[in-house]
Amino acid sequence: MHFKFKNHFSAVAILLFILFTCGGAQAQHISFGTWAGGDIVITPGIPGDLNFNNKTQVITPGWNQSVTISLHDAEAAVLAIEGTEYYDVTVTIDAPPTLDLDASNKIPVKIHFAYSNLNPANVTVAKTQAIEVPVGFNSATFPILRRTNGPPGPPPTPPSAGYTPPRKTAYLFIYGTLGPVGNVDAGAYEGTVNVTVEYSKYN
Amino acid sequence: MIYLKKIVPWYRLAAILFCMFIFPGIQGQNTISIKASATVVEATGIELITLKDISIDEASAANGILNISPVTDETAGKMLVKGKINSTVRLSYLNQLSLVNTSGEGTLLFKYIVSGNATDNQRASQLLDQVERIVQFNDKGQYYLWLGGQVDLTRAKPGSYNGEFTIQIEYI
Repeated sequence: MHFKFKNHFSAVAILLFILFTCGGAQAQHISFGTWAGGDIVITPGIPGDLNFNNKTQVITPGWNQSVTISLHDAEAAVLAIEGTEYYDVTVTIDAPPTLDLDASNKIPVKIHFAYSNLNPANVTVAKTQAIEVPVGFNSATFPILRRTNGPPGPPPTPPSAGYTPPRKTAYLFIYGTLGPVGNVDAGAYEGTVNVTVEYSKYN
Repeated sequence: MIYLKKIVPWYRLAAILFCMFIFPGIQGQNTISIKASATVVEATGIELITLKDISIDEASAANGILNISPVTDETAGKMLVKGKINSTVRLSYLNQLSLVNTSGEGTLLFKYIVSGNATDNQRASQLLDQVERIVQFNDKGQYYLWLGGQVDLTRAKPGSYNGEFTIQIEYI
């Protein structure tokens, strides 16, 4: 009797702990990314940077001056994300609100991004299939390889000795609008956009 | 109470195992930085200088039609466009213009043909026969234009005809 009570008490304690930790109903995700290794590879494409002069060669001061690089422009920056095909990745963009020359010379910039994850043959195809992340969002979660149609397949084979899961490349496009340039000094205005990619864990 | 003490290690172990699965640490993460940049330059005007006017010589007309090639004829007009070094501009112009008889009645319809070159070499100039043409200044901020055209003189009344060639140039 004592033995049974002990087991019962242990189970209740663990259950209570889980309930408090989880804190209510959760969507039904299998978080494969929880066990993913650090094997995401990000490679800059062409162009690997966002240079607004590549779209408008001569940018002059003025309140009506602005330059927009759109997703389908050749000047949009390209990043290739290689990872295990069945994992979801979360991309987070940390972009500055302005490009700066110095403390008193700043030009507003709005950075947008899009992803393409249908296993495109090349960057050109990737761009035609790209999904633009709505304005106002700075992160997006998507599978490295998006399933096009049909029901989900069986769970993937986990990595093990002698077995490497298939890898695919998704593409990220970064673009945006500079301006209004305003009454600023001439010079080289710069900012850094940090792009973080990690396997999603749905915690 | 004695049983409660005994299960504490189990509780802790369960919590540790649970946390290990839920918070495995940062894995599979990669960060890259890309540079966003723009170079702003002082506003630079575009200067258009006429180096030579078109010379219309009636004697050169064949069957009353006068053709002046901007590429090969010495009588073609010549202009120099000055702007920002190596920058790209869009050219557009009206390819037809009425020349007004300044000494009498009548007008002549002149159809312009324009060629251009970043170097001062008329024979190597390229015809700018599209509505808009993208060209690039040379490393001295110069671009040359030659103006020719076609005019029908068969019904022209005697007199002196005048007109202005209008071209629009803008940085892109």
